[in-house]
Amino acid sequence: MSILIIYLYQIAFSLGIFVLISLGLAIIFGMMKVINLAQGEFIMLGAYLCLITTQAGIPFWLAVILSSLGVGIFGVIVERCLIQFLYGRIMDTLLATWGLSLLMVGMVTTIFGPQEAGVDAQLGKFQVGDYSIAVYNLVLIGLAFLMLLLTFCLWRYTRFGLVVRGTMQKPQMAAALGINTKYYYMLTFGYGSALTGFAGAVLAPIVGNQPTMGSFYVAKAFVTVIAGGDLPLMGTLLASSVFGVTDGIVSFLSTQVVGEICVLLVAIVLLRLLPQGITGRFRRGI
Amino acid sequence: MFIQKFFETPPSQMPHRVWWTLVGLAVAIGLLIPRFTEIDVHLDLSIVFIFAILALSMGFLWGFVGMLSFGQTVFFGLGGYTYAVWSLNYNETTFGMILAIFIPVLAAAALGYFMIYGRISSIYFTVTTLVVTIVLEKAVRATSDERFKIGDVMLRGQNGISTVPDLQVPWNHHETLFLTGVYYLAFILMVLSYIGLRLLLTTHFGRVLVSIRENEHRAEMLGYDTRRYRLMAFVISGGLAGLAGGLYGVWGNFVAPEMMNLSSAASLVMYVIVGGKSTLIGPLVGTGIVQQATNWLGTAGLGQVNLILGGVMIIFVMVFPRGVLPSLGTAVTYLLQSRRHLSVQSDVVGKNAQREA
Amino acid sequence: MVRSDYLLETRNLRKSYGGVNAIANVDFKLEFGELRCLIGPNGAGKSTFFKMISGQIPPSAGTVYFDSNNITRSSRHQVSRMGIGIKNQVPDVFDNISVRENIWLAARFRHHEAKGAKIADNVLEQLSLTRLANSLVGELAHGQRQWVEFGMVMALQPQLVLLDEPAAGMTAEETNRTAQLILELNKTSAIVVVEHDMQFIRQIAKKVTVFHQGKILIEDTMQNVQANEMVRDVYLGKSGHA
Repeated sequence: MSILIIYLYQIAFSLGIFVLISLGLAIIFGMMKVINLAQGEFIMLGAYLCLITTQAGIPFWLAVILSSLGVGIFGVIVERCLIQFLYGRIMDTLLATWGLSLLMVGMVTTIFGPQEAGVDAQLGKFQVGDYSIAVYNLVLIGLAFLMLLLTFCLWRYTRFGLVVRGTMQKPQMAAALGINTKYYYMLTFGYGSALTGFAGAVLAPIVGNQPTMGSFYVAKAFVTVIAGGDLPLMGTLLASSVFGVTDGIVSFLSTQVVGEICVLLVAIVLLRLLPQGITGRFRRGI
Repeated sequence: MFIQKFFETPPSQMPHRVWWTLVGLAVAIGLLIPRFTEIDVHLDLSIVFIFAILALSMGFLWGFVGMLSFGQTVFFGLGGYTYAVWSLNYNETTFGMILAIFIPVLAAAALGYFMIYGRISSIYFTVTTLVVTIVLEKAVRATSDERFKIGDVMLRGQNGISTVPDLQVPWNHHETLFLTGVYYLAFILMVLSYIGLRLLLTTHFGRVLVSIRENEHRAEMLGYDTRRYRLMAFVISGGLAGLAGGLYGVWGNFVAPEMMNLSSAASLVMYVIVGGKSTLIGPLVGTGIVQQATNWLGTAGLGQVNLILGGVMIIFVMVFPRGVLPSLGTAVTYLLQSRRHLSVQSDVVGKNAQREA
Repeated sequence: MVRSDYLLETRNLRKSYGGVNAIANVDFKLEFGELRCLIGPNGAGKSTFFKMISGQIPPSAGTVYFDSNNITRSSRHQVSRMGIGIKNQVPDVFDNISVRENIWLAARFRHHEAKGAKIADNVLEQLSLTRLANSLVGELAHGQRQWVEFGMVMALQPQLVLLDEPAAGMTAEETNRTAQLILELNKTSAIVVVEHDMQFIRQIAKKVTVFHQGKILIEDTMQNVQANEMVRDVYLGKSGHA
């Protein structure tokens, strides 16, 4: 019995992580069609902001909120200075954001040095059979779903969400209706960045934070969003589920790396069978 | 004008006489350089040639077939490791080098088949190649434990294999290529790769590749099975990258997971962007420029290198999207044309003056 | 297997999008070497039908036969190889390659080096494009680009040529020339032309198929079709005909 709970926990935890790191990209790449190869570095930025703020004495959860906002603002700046000139130029966006990611890694390394840094956020653990589960990890899973729900509600039930959806689908039409599309692009990119920063901040206590941690996440995030397909939120959830199950089980039975490789193989096969992603043919939904 | 004709020869036609002359000249210079320089220069130049071959493989695929692959480093790494593992196990380097091309070719065929015949879009193709190189690097880095070995050779994870043997001369196994010998080998192989690809573009196969870059839909409607062509191009690139990988192992007697990491993949893209993807010589020139610049900055710590790499990439994408060479070419053409305008104008002014006189 | 009497045939061809039938139960027959025009008002389904018989979109139901072969689910390059040359409405050419190269690629697919080059040169002559042979197609005027694409189709020497609005965007003079080219081409290939331009149709049409609301309304000679009341009503928008 306890072993079943452990498996479920592993799967849920892995799923949660996939959702957390991919949600922001689902907005930025899934909705705006902007290929942001600096996605991993945005996570890294969130982690480091959390680091700075907690070291300055600010309580952890407040630090998380501040970090998310910080990365959101950074995202807005990036959008204004770089991304807005490259809409529609897919390859150029890809290369420019790659340059951005290198720039960010370089800057953080210069300021903080290349070594690992940690954040403390102990919430205790409890025993299930022979294994112990950290309470914090459970909170993380909850947060992942909370963010998903929050974004869904924002998209579906607020005027802001409606305007964003319309603008992303048919920008000229939105403009013809008097909507300041540039403003909404900026806000959407900012929101996506904030979500990404949030992921970095909440993950900070449980991973080794170094300037190059981004590369650990960028591959997984992209694979999730691409495998998810057309609908950013539903797709991310479904793809995260598939990968969460794979990674959760495999890395528990074997090692982390083997788990990652399996996820990649599953992703490649998935894409081969469903070239447009899981939700590629879904016509309704978010 | 002679010069104009030279620049306007489309890739599908056999290269102009001038081209052959210039290539011959470059070869002569390249072969003579070692006589007038010290060994450290030979070392520096060799690695430039090796990376140039790698850049050529990526630039060819991108500029002439329209496929942007961030994963050439996959085959680069596979090539290097294959050479290392085989040569160390069997003390036989010639076949090791052949395998360094062949194994990546197989890998490219498998990976390419999945992606190309699966008809994934070009963006997903690019991102997938990036993902594969990252994961492969991680996988190899995780092999530090002693039990990870192929044959008798331990993979040693992120330490890499530092006992990679020198390349034996095929007909005399007791003689090995050392330093300057490696220079000549790398140089000749680079030149051959360049000429080979240039000539490939004049064949029916090469011309179809370019047409696929232009309009895959139309190429299919002419009857060409574009998937087969694209797979073949991907495989050729993979083989070239593998060759570069094997040479890299010979050059430094060392192979490591770094060959396949994000930074290497980024540098490779840099070489091609800086040189420009619309020509075959672009990647070669780009490699030279970037390598020189990196060496010059090399004294700075790791942080600064990334900073500069990133900054330069952004600048190039925003200001010179087509790369240095084409931009230079455009600038030169512009200057030449304005000169012509000026001379025409002065002609007209002169004639008017004469009429009035 | 009994060889079909018809070069191109569709049976019960249907294409539905959601609940709407863009094409519903169309039985179409084309003789060997025939020249047929497909006309009908906007939204009648001509383009959808065209895309299905050229293998560019899969039908929802029904079959397409080409020279007794079932090509319903064939891929684009397979359809071309069987001997069908396709020219869509929007010019589908290789912009950054020369005119000659565009046509050469088409000719060279079926023939070896020497013959391919010769065919390419002949086509260039026929289309009076020889002096433009080395220009990049992207730099040509619209009408000339259409002709380059036309030339590519000719160079394939197909049994069947499918043309979707070949005269679109052309001047009167260019339109006449295109009509002549089509008649010339008809000497060696069967042709199906989808068109709107009635002047143009009158210059080339023998037998005409009129589409309306996804079905074939009437198939007859141009004269009879023009005189037909039903057709006039359909074009002028009078409802009531299914």
